[in-house]
Amino acid sequence: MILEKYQKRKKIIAFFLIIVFLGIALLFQEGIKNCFYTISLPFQKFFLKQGTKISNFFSSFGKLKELREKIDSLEKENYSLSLQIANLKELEIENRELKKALDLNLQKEFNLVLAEVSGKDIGTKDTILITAGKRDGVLEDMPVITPEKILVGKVVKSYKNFSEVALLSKKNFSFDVKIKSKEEQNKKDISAIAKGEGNSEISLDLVPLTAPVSKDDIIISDNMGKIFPKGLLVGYIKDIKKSDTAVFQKIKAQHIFDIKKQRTLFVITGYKE
Amino acid sequence: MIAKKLLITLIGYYFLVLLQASFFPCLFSFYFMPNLVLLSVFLWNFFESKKSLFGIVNAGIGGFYLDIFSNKFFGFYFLISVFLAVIIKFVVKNYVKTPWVKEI
Repeated sequence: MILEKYQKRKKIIAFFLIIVFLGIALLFQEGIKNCFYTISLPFQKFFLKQGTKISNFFSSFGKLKELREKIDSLEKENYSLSLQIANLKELEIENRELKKALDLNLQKEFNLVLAEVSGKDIGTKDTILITAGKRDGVLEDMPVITPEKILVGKVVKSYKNFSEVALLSKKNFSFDVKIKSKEEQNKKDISAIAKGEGNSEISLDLVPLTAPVSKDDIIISDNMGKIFPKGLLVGYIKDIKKSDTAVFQKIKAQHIFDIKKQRTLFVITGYKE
Repeated sequence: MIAKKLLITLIGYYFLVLLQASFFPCLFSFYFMPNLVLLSVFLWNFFESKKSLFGIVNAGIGGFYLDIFSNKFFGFYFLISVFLAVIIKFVVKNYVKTPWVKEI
């Protein structure tokens, strides 16, 4: 009887200790997370590096046939590109003069903070961790891009030394985009709303049935909703479905950003005039 | 003995969570990534001695690490894994007999 009572009391104490522990952890969760991320950074970098190596090793076996087909198609594309180069050379002279005036590069357009990908968030799909935080001036809702001007996503949570970045493909994430024709450069851009579908996929909404959209067309960001700056590369169209009963086309797109290939990112902390 | 078990759990789960956050994203798709910690919690509690309660402590540690490396509120994974451990313990104690497995 006494032993049973003692056991029961022990269980109650353990239960309350857990509640107190969780409460404290909830109160100081930012500090705890930041501390663990800082300690884990070298290990995470090591694992990311090794993971990429192994992934590349195995993917090279499985993709032999695909690579051969790609070489063929690239050769064909090469011929048409050579032709385009000849035409573009004329434009280059004109462009050079314009560039002198504008000096187009990332640093001139944005205030940037350099960050490295340190891992993936376990709880939420399509969310990554980067090594820049409040200490570097990184705050929530700031856009994240690659050095090649590919839009990655936006900061959803910033800690002292780290930040969580929601990728564009994250479910329920929506933003304005424009569809640029890959073939005809003079074609008018088509506005659309992009929605994250998860697993690096994006769907495009509000594209009328009559809009001339084709596979592999390029998607760039637009700043109508003031979420992202305009003109940043988002992805390309993968699949188009048209139905007579629907008002809009069903378009699926692929987000270009790949965690396996891209390590260095930039957070846009401000815009320059 | 318990201190040794605790130390192994602390280091082991930290290693598993790091694998899950940094190594697996390179090998698997974001949507088909195994949750090693929850899997370990399940296995540990399934094969642990029916009298021992260390599996629940073990689940708490695993859940705590998962909470650190996820953007859900603190306690989310902690409660899930502890709840999972309690359920497994209950089921194993009352309905499962594994005479061929040597108890840990």
